[in-house]
Amino acid sequence: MAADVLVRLSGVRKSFGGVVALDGVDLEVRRGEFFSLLGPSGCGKTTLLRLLAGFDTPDAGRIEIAGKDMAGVPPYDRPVNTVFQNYALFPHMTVEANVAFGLRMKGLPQAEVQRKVAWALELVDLLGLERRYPRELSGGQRQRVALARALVLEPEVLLLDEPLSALDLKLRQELRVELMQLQRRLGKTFIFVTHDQEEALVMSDRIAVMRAGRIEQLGLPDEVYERPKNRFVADFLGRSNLLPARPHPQGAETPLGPLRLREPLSREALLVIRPEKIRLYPLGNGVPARENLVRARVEEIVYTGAENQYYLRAGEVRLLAYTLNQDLQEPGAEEFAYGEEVLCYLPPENLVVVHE
Amino acid sequence: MNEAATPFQRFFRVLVTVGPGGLWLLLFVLLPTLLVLVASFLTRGPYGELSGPLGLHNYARVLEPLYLEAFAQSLLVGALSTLLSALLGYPLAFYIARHPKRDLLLFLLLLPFLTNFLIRVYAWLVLLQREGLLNAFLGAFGLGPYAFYPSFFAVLLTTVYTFLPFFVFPVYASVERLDWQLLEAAYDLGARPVRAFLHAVLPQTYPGLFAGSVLVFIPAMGTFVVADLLGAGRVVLIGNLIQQQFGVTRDWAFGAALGVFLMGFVLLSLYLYARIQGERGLEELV
Repeated sequence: MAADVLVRLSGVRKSFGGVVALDGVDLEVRRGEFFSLLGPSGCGKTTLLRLLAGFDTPDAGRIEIAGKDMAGVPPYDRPVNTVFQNYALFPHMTVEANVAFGLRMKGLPQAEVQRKVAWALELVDLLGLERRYPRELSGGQRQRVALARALVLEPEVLLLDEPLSALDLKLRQELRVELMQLQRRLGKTFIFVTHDQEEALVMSDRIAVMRAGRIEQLGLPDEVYERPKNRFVADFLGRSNLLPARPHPQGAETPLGPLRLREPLSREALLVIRPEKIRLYPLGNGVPARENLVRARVEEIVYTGAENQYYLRAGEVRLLAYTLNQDLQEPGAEEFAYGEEVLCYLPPENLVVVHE
Repeated sequence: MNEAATPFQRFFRVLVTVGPGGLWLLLFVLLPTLLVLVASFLTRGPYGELSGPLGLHNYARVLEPLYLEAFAQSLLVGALSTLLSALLGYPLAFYIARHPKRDLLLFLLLLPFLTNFLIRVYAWLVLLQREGLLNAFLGAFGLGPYAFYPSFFAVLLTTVYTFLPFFVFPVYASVERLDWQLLEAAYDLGARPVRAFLHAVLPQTYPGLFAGSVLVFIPAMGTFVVADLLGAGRVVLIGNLIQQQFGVTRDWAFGAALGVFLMGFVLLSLYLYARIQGERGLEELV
């Protein structure tokens, strides 16, 4: 496994004028991986990317790319290329000249430059736009030029700094899929910075969730989503119901009463359950006679198309539960009305214990 | 509201919006230029007045070697001042734009303009003359004295001094708007510092460079005060000759022809630039 590590950071620190941007980051990114750095603005994810690109130097720690220490190596000698958030295309150069720029800087012969530029433009589906200037392109097209310009140099690692954030939702969703396909086709290592948790979940092989210059949790998308390690991760990725809990013979004592867990609590903790994991049943009709049932009243219903979001109140506790609209086709599934009393089932396997 | 406007209302609106500017242009640009143009075809009368006959004889004189030489000399002063202003002003604009106290530095750059132009030119005379400060300074090291004044060098130095701020300001405006991320992008794509600058930074400052060059070149070519005072007759520029025709010689017709010739040259240069650069070139200039 160690041979597969392409990027290794150990104890990396960086601060700007007394403000700590990275507070001792250890990280290993594997070859061929789509790796996301996810976090709110100011969490240090962009700083991390800039350290990898070589635009900034770490105050402490070590960065290795492809087995080489990057200390003192300027950006133009690093085996990485960057897709900038605002693309940073050269406005006075055509699409072709933008994509050819890096190849020309390497001093490749003209014939090879042309061949590679054509390859890169075909890769991102921009053939025919060679003579256009960036100002004559749409946002999505500019994004592709930026991608082609970086990929044509065949970097060991492609760094992407929120490349989709400037685009509208529909285009963003399309480009997500294209970017994933591109990455698989080329087998390149992508390090992708985003604050969009959905983007990270959809695209990544692994995700590092960052906060205040530290990595809070690192894992597969479903691990990070289903088994958040702490309150921050649970809160930042999607929405969560959080319940304070104390040890109890059955499992945990909570404001909703005793709840059974997979393993009883040993100390005070927080229980996390995702809205879509809570099952809703009408009172007295087909209710499974089980534990972890909570009676609640529907306070608000939000219809989003694909799902219904129920805002519930059980005593002092507010709960959020999602039901897929498709479930209505299944026997036993029902829609609920404002003010209606329902039974919420909180499956023990979906109650995640978090300490913080 | 627009649909309901009568022809008179529309006329009135155009008059109110375009009128004042148009009137200004008419009175202070178009009319004087036309007067000069007409005068350039007339002849000097016995008492120095403008009279007939009409003809191209003034322009024929413009092409005499004496005047062409002065014109070449002016071209040289204009070109060298522009070049020197660029070499000094371009880095200075970057320095100011990236300095935390750039407002103060800009003010300092403007400060000389608070003093009368003639006094500043005389100040250079004092500095450069045989018993001046520069020679006194060099004398302390056992050097000189040198004849800095009167000379072509003195004219050039003072011209650059005078017009340097006109170069710095437009470049400064370009630098302020600079997208520095393009420099990072160039580094990222493998460009070493010098090439990164040439490809990612320099092109962004072309509009400022051009505007600055025009603002220095045109007045430097037409100046006569500096050449008069610091050249002391040794450096004769086209501006001096024009001034002479309107002053001592009282041949306004010939002076006008020289002026039209100079103006034509400048306009032609700008036109050629616009042709080379395309329409964007002229837009950026304005």
